[in-house]
Amino acid sequence: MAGLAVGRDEEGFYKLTGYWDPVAYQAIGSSIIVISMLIVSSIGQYINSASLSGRLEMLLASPARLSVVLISTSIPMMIFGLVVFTLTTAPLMYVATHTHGPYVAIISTAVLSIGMIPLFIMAVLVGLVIARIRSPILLNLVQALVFTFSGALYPLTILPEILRIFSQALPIVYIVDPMRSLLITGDLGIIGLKIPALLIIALAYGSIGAILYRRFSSALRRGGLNV
Amino acid sequence: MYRARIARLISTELWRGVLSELRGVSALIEILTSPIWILGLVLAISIQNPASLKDPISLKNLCWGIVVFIMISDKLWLVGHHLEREKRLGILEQILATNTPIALHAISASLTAMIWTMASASTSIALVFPILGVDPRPANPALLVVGYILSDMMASGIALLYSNAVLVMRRPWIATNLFQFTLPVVSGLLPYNLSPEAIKRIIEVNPLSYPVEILRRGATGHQSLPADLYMALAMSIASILALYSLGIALIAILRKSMLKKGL
Repeated sequence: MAGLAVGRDEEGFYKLTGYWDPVAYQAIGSSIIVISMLIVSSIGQYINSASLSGRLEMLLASPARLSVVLISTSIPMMIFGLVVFTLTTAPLMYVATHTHGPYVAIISTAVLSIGMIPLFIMAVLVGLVIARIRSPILLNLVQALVFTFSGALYPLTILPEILRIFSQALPIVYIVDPMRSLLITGDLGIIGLKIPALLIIALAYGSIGAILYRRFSSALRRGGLNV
Repeated sequence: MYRARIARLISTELWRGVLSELRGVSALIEILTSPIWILGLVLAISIQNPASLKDPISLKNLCWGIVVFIMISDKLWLVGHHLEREKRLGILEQILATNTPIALHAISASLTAMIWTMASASTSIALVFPILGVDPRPANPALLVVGYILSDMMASGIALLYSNAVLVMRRPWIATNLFQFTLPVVSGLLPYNLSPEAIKRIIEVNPLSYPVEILRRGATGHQSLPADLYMALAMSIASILALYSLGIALIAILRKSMLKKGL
């Protein structure tokens, strides 16, 4: 549909992205965006409805780990996201595994699995901020940031330089490039560059997320939801 | 006497809407979010033809199409979910008890949402258009204003009608997420002449396409939908009246049912 709006130019697209097929390029990117948005919105919506109904206060008072409850809540939506991803990329995956070998499927699954870790951490933190500000509106902002600055639908080089700073902090950047490289060209070259970066970002999200989670959740436990 | 009562109710509802919806961190976040969506959507579409990124006319067409997307999205969330949000918070029960006309209460949310969209659209035009190198000056300012008001009223009318469905849905946010992307596509987000045949037929029968066409003609000076300007105006006004009448009638039925059975 997007191509119809402006008239598709495959050669121009290749010059900018290094890929000939815009549909495959954006199909991989958009399915990863869908997974990210589902994880973030399911946790955010759950925490918002729990804080409105008083369930969150009960959860905070109980010995249950809030992070475990939140992550478990998002599992059905995550499964739905993975189904979307599988259906969208099935033809590409089929061609890639036949052309380049089964390693393509194994490595792309590994990349997606590692990439999920920072996404979950980001979603839990967004959920806690929603509980603090008592408004789910933050979800819209996070979804817009993910959509615009993740580089999933277009190369980041077309963004003004100052705006690319956001992109480097988003985990999706480190998932989409290797996935595209693997599924479209079967090229392993980018994996060596992006996997260490993905591991570093997962570690960074883990450590910063743990500090922020402790701070936010203890503030909620101490002061309640009306702070 | 009766007119004065209606005027007082509207002003009270509008003031309530402004106080509850247009202040605090939520309003600020929402207004800042719109330019980010617009930038992302324009780039995601125009990357299919990178030359269009350097063509000011294509970009201008697309940017105004995306402004319509923001308009529809705002209305679905703010007006469409207004009664459902109040139902969840227990406010609707109290409003029902005060005997305030619920339809008027719902329409007041669209007035607040119009102010909200105006703020979002202005921020987007001020921030995103210069980034993309698009000239924000409209080709025909008067036509743009007419098209904008009609599109906004139409989007509110659709959201008013949709708010009835939201009240009875279990997870309305899934449906809203779907509608906020599909509705703009069949309303002229993509220019009519470039859409596939099936979409063209939907655009022709979709009442929202006509005010959007007026807005686009005012903004860019280009005609997309093969419709006479007066016909587009007549279609828009008739559709707005029909949508509001239907929405108000359905809310009145729902109000009776809520009073009888509770929430």
